[in-house]
Amino acid sequence: MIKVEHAVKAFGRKKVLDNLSFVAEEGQIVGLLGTNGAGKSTMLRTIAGLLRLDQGEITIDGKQPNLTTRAMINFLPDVDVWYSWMKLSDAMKYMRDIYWDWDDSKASHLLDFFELKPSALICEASKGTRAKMKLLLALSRQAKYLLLDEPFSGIDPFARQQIAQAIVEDFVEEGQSILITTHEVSEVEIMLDEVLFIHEGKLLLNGNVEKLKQASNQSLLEIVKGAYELARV
Amino acid sequence: MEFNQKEPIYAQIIDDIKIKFINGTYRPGQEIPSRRELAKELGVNPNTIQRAYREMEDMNLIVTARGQGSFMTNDLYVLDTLREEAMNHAVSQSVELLRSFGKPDEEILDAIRRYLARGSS
Repeated sequence: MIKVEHAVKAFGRKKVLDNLSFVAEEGQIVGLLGTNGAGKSTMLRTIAGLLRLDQGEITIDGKQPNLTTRAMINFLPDVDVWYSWMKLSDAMKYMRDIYWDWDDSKASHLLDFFELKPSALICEASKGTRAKMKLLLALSRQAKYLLLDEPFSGIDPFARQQIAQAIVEDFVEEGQSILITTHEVSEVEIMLDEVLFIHEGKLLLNGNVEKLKQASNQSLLEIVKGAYELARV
Repeated sequence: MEFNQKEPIYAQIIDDIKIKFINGTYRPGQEIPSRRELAKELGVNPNTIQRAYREMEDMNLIVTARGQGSFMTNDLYVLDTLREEAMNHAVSQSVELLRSFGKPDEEILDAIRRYLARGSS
């Protein structure tokens, strides 16, 4: 269980996380939705232990982010972290050396599924292919928590569907907990259990997607827009 | 299958399986995809699929045998009831739509008769 309590983080004068609290239960896919600059990526980075909160507390299975929790967490950042000389196979070797939970059979399954070539240079791949490569590198670990930062941004609909299928397939097999940030609301809604909608560092909406839709008879996008409009007045 | 964004996904999955049962894609007693298979195939959250299957079990639409998968019911009464429901629903939708255009009932009935007389389109 990931528990975030009264998280506050400021960059200069700007409060990026403003007293944010939520719980991500085990075995669920939670969507962290929000406008640009809402604080989604910052939230993920603090959970991953790459940033510290100014105030408040984050616990992962009761422990504050440290080296032990990092081993339990698999973080897919939205920025490119691989060297320009690296082929996909180099990055796979690197991951295998760093993480004991790297799973070669998952990696080769995903190579097939995404039709990727290990000999291809990561930096020369198209945006969609690069997204698949990055997802392969992330999903081939067997970590308990998976944090995905914008896995769909700038990717064509066909590749998006493949990426969504790969994420759900991995979840079906392993039942880990997944926290996924995006602004492609309609793209992720079929894979979510819970939704968190944040705007300017504050939590505006939190709940089970299917129950919210059933109660309001609206699409998730409409529900989220409603919460956004309400917050602006 | 394509999902609309308004209705809950689990309800859409139930409707899809009902339609496949009514139109004969799935026959009584036929095995349907397992929860895991369907989740992977559609890219839908497995907890959502689980909810749909559980409701279909409660409705006696499907039967799940432990370790053997899920099957459409063999109960033909359930199928007849579904057909009946689907027909009533389709009729009431079309008739109410035509009534809302201000068409009198006799004219609606005539239009349906003419349509049927033309044979299958």
